[in-house]
Amino acid sequence: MEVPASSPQNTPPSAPPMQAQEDQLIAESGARSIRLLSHRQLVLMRFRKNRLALIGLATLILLYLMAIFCEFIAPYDPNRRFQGNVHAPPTRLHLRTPEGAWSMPFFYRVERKTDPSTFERVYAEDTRQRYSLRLFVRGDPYEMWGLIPLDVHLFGSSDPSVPLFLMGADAMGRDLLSRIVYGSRISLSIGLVGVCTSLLIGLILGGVSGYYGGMVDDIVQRLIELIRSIPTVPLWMGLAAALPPSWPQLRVYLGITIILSFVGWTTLARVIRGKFLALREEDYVLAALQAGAQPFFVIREHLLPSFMSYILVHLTLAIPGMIIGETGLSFLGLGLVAPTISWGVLLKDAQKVQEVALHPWILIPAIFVLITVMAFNFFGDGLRDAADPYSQRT
Amino acid sequence: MRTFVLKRILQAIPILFGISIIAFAIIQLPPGDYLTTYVNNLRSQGDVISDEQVKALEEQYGLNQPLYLQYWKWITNFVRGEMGQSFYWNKPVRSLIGERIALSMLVSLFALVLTYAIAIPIGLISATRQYSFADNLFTVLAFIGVGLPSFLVALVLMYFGNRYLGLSAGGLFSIEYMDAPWSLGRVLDLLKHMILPALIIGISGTAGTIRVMRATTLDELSRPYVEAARARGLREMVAVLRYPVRVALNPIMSTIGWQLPALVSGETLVSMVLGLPTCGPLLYTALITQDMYLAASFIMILSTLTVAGTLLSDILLAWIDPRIRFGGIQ
Amino acid sequence: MKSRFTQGSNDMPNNNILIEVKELRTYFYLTEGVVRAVDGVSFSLERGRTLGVVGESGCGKSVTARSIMNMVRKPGRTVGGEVLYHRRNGDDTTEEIIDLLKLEPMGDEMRAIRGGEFAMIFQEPRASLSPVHTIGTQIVEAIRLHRPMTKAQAREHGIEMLRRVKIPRPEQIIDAYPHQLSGGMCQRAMIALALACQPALLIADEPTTALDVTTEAQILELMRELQATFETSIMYITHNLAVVAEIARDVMVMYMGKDVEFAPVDAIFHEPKHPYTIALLSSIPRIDVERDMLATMAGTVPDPYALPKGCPFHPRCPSRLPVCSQDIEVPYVFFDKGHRVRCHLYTAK
Ligand SMILES: Nc1ncnc2c1ncn2[C@@H]1O[C@H](COP(=O)(O)OP(=O)(O)OP(=O)(O)O)[C@@H](O)[C@H]1O
Ligand SMILES: [Mg+2]
Repeated sequence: MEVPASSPQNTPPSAPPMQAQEDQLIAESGARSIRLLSHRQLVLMRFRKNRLALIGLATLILLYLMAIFCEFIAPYDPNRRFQGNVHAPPTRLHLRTPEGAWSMPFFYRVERKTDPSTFERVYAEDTRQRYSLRLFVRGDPYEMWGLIPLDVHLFGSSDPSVPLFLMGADAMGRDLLSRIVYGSRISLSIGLVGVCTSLLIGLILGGVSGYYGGMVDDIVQRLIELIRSIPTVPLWMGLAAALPPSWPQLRVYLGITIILSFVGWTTLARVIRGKFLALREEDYVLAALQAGAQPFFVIREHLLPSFMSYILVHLTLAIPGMIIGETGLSFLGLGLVAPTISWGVLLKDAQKVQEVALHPWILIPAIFVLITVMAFNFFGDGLRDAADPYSQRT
Repeated sequence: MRTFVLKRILQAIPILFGISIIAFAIIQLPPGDYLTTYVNNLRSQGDVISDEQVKALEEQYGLNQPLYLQYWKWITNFVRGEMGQSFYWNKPVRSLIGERIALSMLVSLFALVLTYAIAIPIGLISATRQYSFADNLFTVLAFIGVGLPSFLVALVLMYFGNRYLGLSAGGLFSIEYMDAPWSLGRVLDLLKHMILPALIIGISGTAGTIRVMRATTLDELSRPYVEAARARGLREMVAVLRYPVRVALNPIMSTIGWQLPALVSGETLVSMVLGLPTCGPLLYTALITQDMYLAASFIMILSTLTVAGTLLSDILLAWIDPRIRFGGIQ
Repeated sequence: MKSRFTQGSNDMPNNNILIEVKELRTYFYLTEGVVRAVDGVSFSLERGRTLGVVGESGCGKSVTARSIMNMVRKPGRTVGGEVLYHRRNGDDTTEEIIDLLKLEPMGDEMRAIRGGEFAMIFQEPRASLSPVHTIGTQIVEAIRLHRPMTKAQAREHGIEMLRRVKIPRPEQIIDAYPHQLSGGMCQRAMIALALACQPALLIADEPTTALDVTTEAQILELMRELQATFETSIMYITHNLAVVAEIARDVMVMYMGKDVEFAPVDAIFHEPKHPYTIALLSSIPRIDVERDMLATMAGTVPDPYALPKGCPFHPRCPSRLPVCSQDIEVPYVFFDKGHRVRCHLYTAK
């Protein structure tokens, strides 16, 4: 963005030339110091103007808060089965009493009946007794982050014997909302971990490739081309199928992350290499090398800082791909499997259309994935536009 | 031009070699070897298999040989069209995958065609009527569409299709054409069934292409040669279509290279959701049942075809853009 | 009845006029405000003559040219004035006068004039040619658009035109792409393209700015030669006064969208009237005038969104009068030989 140089048009032409020159100098140095000081502020300013990006960021903050405090936010233990509530539909919250008065959110007990003529399941609200949604209720005990034993949940039913299923229940009578909230911890973290792994590989290979050039560069480039020419999903599937079923879940989680990074690093490595190639020629790098600095020192001290924002943008835009990858693999049963909870694992229940037709709410995890992906894209795009005003919005 | 084509073909060879290594690794990676799985399978079905028979099978597949020999045996057979035996189906791999690969490629290519058929005109309209209502609408849609996971979209659409339109699960043929021999009717039936899957697979690519097309066309429209064409008295449509669009199409064409793997990739997942008789479901079963020759052949062939597609698109691009053909830009 | 603007460099009114531009105004409507890129420009150009248009960058020269071609695009709009084209019929006996601004900008009639009777060449020759088509394709297309010729005839004609502009091996060059030619060659090809239909007017918008000095001299020489052959009128836009001295017969000096001075080339160089012209001339080094220091003009071009009231030059003008900053149109003052100036200094006389 151009900082408007203060135009000297106001300077009266009759003013002594010395004065005019001085004015000019002051105006120029002023403009320069603005430029120096405010690169970060400029980026922030531009970012703040982008409403979609702000919405994306806010959504992401909410989602990640949910993942961090999932034990507290989920109303129930995600593995608790509610007898007689298999595939219970989402509980309807009411804000008005039958008499038409406004009220705090409340709900009715839902009774399941079978229609005697069509044999279809029907659900009816039992309006005799109202139950309310309460904040900070005591419920299933849990250990916050596996450390602090607690039993307070953000919200819950006023009567522990009448459960509240805001997003329905699954085939085993478990509260879907609680499972989604717990699932976010894995689904959202796998993107971050995967991107960090990719970044590490990408930094090493891309950096080395861009820094040394020549043979090394050629080899790395061919490797990238090779990996990118294989359709990702079949490759992921092939690799994921090779994970031994006997592995504990944590190791599977790491395995999946590595598989996702196996493809993910290539993009980052390209980006990094390109930047390195451009920066290698910069005078100050040459000067540092000439002065006897170690190559690694040069990379860390001079090259890295100059493209942090650039990398940040690409990282943000790479995360949704990772999340989709995990969801897809787990959805197929090739990634994480129950009893681990991730959005993909939850969606596995939705593989059959007939199931979805009967209990459409089992698709809700998909909506969470879609929202997350869009939020990341909006945020990343906004970041890119803000960081580089000359980049095209493509 | 000829040297360019030759050079590109030569470049593809090490890539194909690399792919074959990865495919072979996928055969080798699972714990225990597939023969054990196979024998266990047979035994669990009550067959009696002696150790001699196992030995004979080991011989046949060269399992007791060092890895590089096994690889050599596998790849030379593969190139000759001998892709090994599917343990699960107990049939030669080749007989299993032929039609599925063809259908997969067909659906992917169809998705590519649809992507361009939709995205290019929309991108053009957006660019020539910048900031109009249509432009804003498409820009928002494209913005949302980029990066949407197609299989989730497919899942959601399946539900709505089933719920409100009474559509049953996808497939690529109506029942009457399911096993019928090829005929005009069957082709039309196939096309009809392909549209929705192709649209779904193409969502992300379409959105991306709209954005690229809009940006590059806008860029080109402001170039002096467009003004010069107008100053020569060309019609507005001609001035826009003949000149800048030609140039703006180049980056679009050059993205075929990465659109194809993405489409094939998306096709694999979407076909599983929609139950299409393409590679996806079979590859999936192959992987689940550790039917590794089958799985590796799929990966190998899909990748090879993708590389070939990219190669073709590069050559096409060079043919369209004289600046590349003559080495003016790289 | 002819207005006083139609006087050429001779004193006598004449009927040899090709175009007359009257009170042309073209504004750009941007979110930041309205840019009055051309704000009252009048001049006329005779057949076979050359008009030089000079002025600082951003003073509206290119916009004037595009307004004459009636191809100003949004956010710009020609909001006032006339561009009268005196069109002669084939046998040069009758003449009709068309106001180009009344024509539909993209309509058939306007497009027939554009390229057929008026042609234009641009600052960056290579960028003005389509990078994905050969020179030949573009020439053939342009010719066939305005002349009834077959492809083969048009191609022949194209080769002939390339030869006329002194392109070596025209038979081969016609199949070349712009990126295969040098900048000078591209500009020659552009000239060939522009003159292929023998236009009555050639607008050259800084055609040599992007070229080196030697090539520039060659191109200028070429244009003079071709003008003699084809009797084309040329409107030559530049900020190089030396070029104007060499090629133009009349000169129009523009400042902030206004035609501050119009005069025969000699008058501009020897008796400049407007303080801006004087400043412009004194900023180029000259051998024949002895001077201690090269003068620079005070201040810079004002912000186009916030033009000063009254004469736009008054904030920088060394000889400004109180009346200059008053919010009134500066009137034209006429001298002999078609010399005229817009400046309050001369209104008293
Ligand atoms: N498309 C446009 N949109 C907005 N403003 C424009 C546009 N084209 C020209 N202008 C404005 O019109 C004014 C005159 O521009 P013009 O291109 O005619 O200048 P010029 O005299 O040709 O300058 P140069 O010597 O640099 O070519 C400028 O202030 C410019 O900002
Ligand atoms: Mg200009």
